[in-house]
Amino acid sequence: MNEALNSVFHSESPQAEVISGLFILVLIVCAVILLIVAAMIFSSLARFRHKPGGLDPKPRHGNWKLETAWTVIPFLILIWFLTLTAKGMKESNPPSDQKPDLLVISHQWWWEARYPQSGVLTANEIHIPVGVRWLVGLESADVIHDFWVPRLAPKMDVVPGHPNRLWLEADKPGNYLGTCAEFCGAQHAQMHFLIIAQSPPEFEAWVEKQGKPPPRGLTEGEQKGSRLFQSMTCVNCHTVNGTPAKGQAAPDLTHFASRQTIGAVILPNTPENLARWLKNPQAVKPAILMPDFKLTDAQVSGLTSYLESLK
Amino acid sequence: MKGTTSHPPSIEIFHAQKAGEGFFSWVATVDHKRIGILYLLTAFFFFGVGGLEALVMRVQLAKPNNTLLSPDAYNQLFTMHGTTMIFLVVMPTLIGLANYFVPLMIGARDMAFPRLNAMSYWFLPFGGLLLHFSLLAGGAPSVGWFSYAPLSETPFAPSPGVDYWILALFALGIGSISTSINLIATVLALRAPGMSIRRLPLFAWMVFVNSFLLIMALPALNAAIIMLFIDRQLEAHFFLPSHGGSAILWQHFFWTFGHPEVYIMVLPAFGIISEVIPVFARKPIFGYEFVAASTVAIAILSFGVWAHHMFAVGLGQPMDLFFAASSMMIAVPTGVKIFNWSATLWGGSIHLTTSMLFAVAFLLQFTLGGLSGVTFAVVPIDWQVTDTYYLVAHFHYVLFGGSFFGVFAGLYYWFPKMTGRLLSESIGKVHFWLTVIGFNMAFFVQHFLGLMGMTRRVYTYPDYPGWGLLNMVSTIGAFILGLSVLVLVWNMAVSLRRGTPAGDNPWNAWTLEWAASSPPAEHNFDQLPPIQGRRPLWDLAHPENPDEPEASGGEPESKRSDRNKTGMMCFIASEAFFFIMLLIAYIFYNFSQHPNPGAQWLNPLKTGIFTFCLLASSFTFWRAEKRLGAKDHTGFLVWLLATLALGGVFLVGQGMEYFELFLKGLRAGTNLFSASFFMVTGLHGLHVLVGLIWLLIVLGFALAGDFKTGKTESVKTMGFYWHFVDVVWIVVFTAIYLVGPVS
Amino acid sequence: MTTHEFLLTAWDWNPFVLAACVITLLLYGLSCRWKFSGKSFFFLAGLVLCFLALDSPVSLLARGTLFSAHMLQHLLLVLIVPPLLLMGLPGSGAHGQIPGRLLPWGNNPLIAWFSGVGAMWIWHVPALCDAAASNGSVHVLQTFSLLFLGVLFWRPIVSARKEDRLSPLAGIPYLFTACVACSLLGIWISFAPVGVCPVYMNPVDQLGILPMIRNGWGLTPIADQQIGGLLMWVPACLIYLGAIMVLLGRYYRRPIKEMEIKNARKK
Repeated sequence: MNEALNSVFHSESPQAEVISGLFILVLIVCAVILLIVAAMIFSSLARFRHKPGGLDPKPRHGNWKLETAWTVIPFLILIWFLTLTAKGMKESNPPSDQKPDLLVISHQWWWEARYPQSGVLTANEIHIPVGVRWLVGLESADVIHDFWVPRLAPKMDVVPGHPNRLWLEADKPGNYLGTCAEFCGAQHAQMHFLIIAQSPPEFEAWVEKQGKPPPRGLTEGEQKGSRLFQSMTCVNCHTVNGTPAKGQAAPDLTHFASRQTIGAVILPNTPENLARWLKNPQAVKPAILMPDFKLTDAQVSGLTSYLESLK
Repeated sequence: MKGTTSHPPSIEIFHAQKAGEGFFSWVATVDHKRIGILYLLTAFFFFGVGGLEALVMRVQLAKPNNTLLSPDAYNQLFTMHGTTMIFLVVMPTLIGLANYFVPLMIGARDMAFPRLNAMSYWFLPFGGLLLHFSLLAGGAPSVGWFSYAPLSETPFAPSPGVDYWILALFALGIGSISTSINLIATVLALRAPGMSIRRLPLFAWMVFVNSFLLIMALPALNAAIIMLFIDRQLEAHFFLPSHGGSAILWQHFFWTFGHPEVYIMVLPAFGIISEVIPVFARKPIFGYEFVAASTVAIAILSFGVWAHHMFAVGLGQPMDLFFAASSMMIAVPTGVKIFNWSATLWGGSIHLTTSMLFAVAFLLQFTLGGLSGVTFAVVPIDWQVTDTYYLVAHFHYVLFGGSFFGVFAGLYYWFPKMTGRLLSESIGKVHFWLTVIGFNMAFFVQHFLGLMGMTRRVYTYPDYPGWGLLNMVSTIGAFILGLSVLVLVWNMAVSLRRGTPAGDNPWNAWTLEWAASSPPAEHNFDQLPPIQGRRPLWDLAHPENPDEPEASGGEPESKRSDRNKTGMMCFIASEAFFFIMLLIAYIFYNFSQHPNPGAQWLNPLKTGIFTFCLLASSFTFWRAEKRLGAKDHTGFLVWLLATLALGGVFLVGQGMEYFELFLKGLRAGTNLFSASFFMVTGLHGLHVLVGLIWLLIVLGFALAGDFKTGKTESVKTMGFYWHFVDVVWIVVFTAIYLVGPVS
Repeated sequence: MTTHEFLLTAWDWNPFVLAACVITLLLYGLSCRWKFSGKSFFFLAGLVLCFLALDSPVSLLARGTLFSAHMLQHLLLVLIVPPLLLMGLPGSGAHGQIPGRLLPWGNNPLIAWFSGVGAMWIWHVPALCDAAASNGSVHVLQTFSLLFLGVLFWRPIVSARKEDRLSPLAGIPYLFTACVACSLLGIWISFAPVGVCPVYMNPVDQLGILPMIRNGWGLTPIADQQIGGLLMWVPACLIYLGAIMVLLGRYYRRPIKEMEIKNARKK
C-alpha cells in the first residue's frame, strides 16, 4: 500500500515542499534557542553549585538592559517568523470563486470522490494526473473530518455546512497515503484513502474506464452473486452503474474490482479479504455502519466472485 | 510599624471554630488548609484514574493492529483521560495548592469566604462522580475532551455520556469560578499589613492573575455546553449544520475558553517555579517585575489567540494570519519568564534538591514544549502537523513536562510545610529520574510519530516502517512514568510514617508561609514578622541588607478592598462574560442573511412595559438602600417589597409572553431563532428568579431585625447583583426587541 | 496603475492638514524653546503618524475604497496619535491644563472610557460610516472627533501631568475593558454577514485603482472587511495591552530604580 515513509518531510508537491522547507528552517531556529537556554541552565548548574559552608550569594534583583534584550530579540525573531508564515500561506491559498476539479465528500468512515468534469464517482482511491494543480472541494456528509495527505498538501478540515478548498498536486506518479486527521467517531483510526497520481494519459484512460458501466458477460458464479446482490439489502446503500443498485449511503461499487484496497484502505483487495469482510464486516472494522448480515459461505463466495468481476 | 505586627483580629464566628478530629471534621471543615489538602487528595486520586486510563491506551498502541480494545472503548478512554487530567487533576491540584498557600503567603487567617471555599471543593468530587456516573448509564463520552459538534450531537452520540460530561463540567465550573472569586477577594482584601500588591510572592500573584483568567474564560465554556445541552435535550440545532446550525461556532466558543484554559493550567505552575528556583539558588528572583508583568501579558493575550486551534478549519487566510501574529506574541512574555528563571540560577548557590531538580527539568521541558508551540503558530506548519502525535507530544510537554513538573517541584517544596515532615531526598531522586526518563521516553518519540504521519486519537494503526518501534518505546516510557508515581506514593508514605521532622523553615525560604509552624496552626500565624519587602524572612535574617532599604518604615497602610464588594464584582464580571457569549450566539444566529422566522411575533411594546417594571425595581431597590442607610426600617421594608413586586411582575410578564409563543407553536427546537431567543431570555429570567429568591431572603433577615445592628453589607451586595440583572436586560431587550433580527 | 506608482502618487498634500501639522509643530517648538528632549520624540512621531493617516495613500483608500484602510486610519487617529501627542507634552506648564480648563468633566474616567469606546462604536454605525467615507465634511468631522475622543480616552493613562492620571492598578481594568469592548466590535465586523459600511462593498472607482486592489492585491470586499475587523480586534488589543504593560512598568519601576542605584553604589 505504502512503501515509503509517509512523513511530512518527504514532500512530493510544490505545496508540501514549501511547508517542509519552512518547517526545517523554523525547527533549526527553535533548536538553537533551546540550546542557548539549555546551555545557560547547565552552565549555571555546573558553575554555581552550592559548596558546603558556602555563603548565600549577594542578592541581584534584575537588570533592565538584559530584560529589554530578551524581550526585543525574540520579538524580532517572531516578526521574521510571521513574514515567513505569510509567504508560506500564500503558496497554498486556493481561490474561492473557481469551480473545483475534484469534489471529495467525507462520510463516517470513508471518502467519496466526484469528478465534476467527467461525472466519474469513486471511493477511497482518488486518481489525479501527475504535475497538474487541482482544486479540491471538500464537503462533509455528517461530522467534521480532515483531509490529509502528508506528502502532498497541508491538511484541511472537512466541515459540514462549511465547504473548504485545497490545492492538490503530485510531482511524481505513485500512491500517496492520506488519512482523516480530525477525530470523527468510532472508526476514525481506519479512515484512510489513497491519492493515486498517474501520468495524464493513464489518468485519462482510467477516467474513461470509470465512466462506463462494468463489463458484462458474467460467469455463472458471478451471475449468482449478482442476483444475490440485487435481491439482498446491498442495493439500499451501494450503487453499481448499469444495474438497479442505486444506494447512496455507502461507497459506489461500479468498478470495485479495479481498486487496490477495501474498507477505506485497510486491506488489500483480494478475494480472501473481501470474503472475510462480507462474512462479518464488524469483525474487520468494528462499529462501521455496514452490519453483519450473517451470510452463508455460499452467499459470501457468490458475492465475492461478483464483486471481483466489477473491473 | 517597626517590630512585629499582630494579625488583625478575626471577627467572624466560624473562624473561631475549633479543628476537630475524625472523618466528619474533614467533611465539615472550612479551614483553607484542610480544604487545600482535600483538593490535593482528590486530585491525586483522579491522577491515578487518569494515569491508568493512559496506560491502558498505551498498551493498546504498543504494537500495530492491536485488538486489545474496541474502538469505542479506546475513544472513551482518551476522552475520559483528557477530561479527567484537565478538570479533575491539574486544575484541582493547582487550586488546592493555591488554597493552602495563598492565604499563608499573604499573611491572612483564611480565605475571604471560608464556607464558599468548602462549597467550591465539594463541587469537585460531585463533578467527578457525575462524569464517571456515565459509565453506569450507557458508557462514558467518546467524543474527545473538546466534544466537537456535530459529533457530540444526539445523531452521532446518542448515548448519555456527553450529557454527563456537560453536567460534570458545569458543576466543576461553578466550583472553579467560586474558588477564583474567593482567591481574588482574599488577595485584595486580606493581605497582612505591609503586603502590598507589589510585594506579593510570585505564586500568589500568578494565582491572583490566573483567577481572573478563570472567571472570564469559564463563562465561554458554560455558554457552549449549555447550548449543546439545549441541542441534546430540547432538540435545538445550534451546532447541527444539517439544520442550519454551525459546527464552527462550537469551536470558537470552546477555544475562547480552551486556550485561556491552557494558561490556567500553567500559570500557577509558573508561580511554583518562581518560588522554588530562588530559594534553592539562594537568590531573589531575577526581574520580579518582568516575571509578574509578563504574567498579565500572557493572561490577556491568551484571550486573543484561540483561533490558532482552528487553522485547519478553513477560516480564511486573513483570520489565520492575524491569529498567527497574536499567537507568536504570546511567546514573548513566556520567553521573558524562561530567561528570568535561568538568570536566577546564574550566579546563585544552587542546592539540587529534588524540588529544584523538578524545577530545572521543568525549565528545559517547558522550553521545548513552548518552542514546539511556536512551530504551531507558523500557520503552514500547523496545517501539516496539527492533530498528529506531534501535537500530542507538544501539549504533554507543556502540561506534563510543564505543569506536572511544577507541581512535583511544589510538592517536594511544600510537603514539609503541610505535614511537618520532609520527603526523603534519596527516594525523591529515584522518583525524579524515573519521571524524567519515563516522561521523555513516552513523549519525545511522539514528535517523530507525528511527523511520520500518525494522527492523534487513533485506536490502532497499520504496521508502517518505524511506527511500531516508536510506539513501543513510548509505551515503555509511559510505564516507567507509572512506576515513578508509585515511588512518589511510597515516598509520601515513608515520610508520613517516619519522615525527618521538618521544622518551620527547612529550606531557609523567605516567604511568609515559612514563618508559620509546620504544619501551620489552625489560625495560621501566632505572630507575623514585619513585612517590609518581598522577602520578609530574608529581611528578618539580614537586617543589614534588606530588599527594600528605603521601606524601613513599612509601607504606608494602603486600603484593603471590601471582600463582599470585591467578591460580588468578580461574580458580576463573570456573569457579564457569560451573557456576552449568549448574546454573541443570539446575534450570530439571527443577524444573518436569512434569519429564521419567529421574531415577528415579539411584541416590543408589551415587553417594554414589563421592562419598565424591571427597571423601576432597580430604582425602588436604590430607594430601599437609601432608607436603610437612614435607619428608616419601615421605609426600607416598603421599598424592598416594591422591588419584589416589580421583579415578580416582570417574571409574570415573561411567563405570559412564553405562553403566547408556545400557543403559536414556537418551541426551543423549532428553529434557531426560537432556540436562541428562549435561551437568552430564559437564562436572564432565571437570574431574575434567583434575584427574587435572594430578595426574599433579605426580606426575611429584615423582618428578623438583622439590619438594625447596622450590618447591611448583604443588602449592598445584593444590590449590585440586582442592578446588574437589570443592565443585562437593557442590553438583551435592545438586541432582541428593538434591533431585532436584521438581514 | 501598479502598486509602486500608486504609493508614490496617491498623496493628498491637503493644505489644511499640512498647515495644521506645521502650526502644531511651531507651537510645540516655541513652547519648549526648541529644546527637544526624549519626550519630544513621541510628539513628533505622533505628528508624523497623524500626517500619514490623513495625507498618505491610506487616506485616499479610506475615502470609500478600502474598509481596511479606513480602519487603519481610524485606529491611528484614536489609538496611536493621541497617546503619542499626550506623552510628548511637557509634564508641567500652562498648556497641560488647557484640556482640563476646557472640559472640567474630561477628567472623569468614566466619560473618558466612553469617549474611547464610543469613538470605536459610533463611527461604525453603517449610516455614519458610509457618510464619513463618502462625504468630505463628515469625514473632516470624523477626523476631528476621533482625535478629540482619543485624547480624552488616553489622558487618564498617559497624560504628561501625573495628577491627571489614574493609578496604575485602576488603569489596568480601564484599558482591559476598553480592549474587550473594542474586540467585540472587531469580532462583529470580522464575521458580519453583511457590509458594515456598505460603501466599501461596491466602491466607485474614480482613480482607476480597483483592478489593482482586486487582482493585484487579491482583496475581495469580504476579505477587505474581514481585515478591517481583524485590525480592530487583534492589533488594537495589542496596543491596549502595551499600555497595560506601561502601567505595570510604572507601578513597579520606582523601587527597582532605587535598588539599582544602591547596588551600583555598593560595587
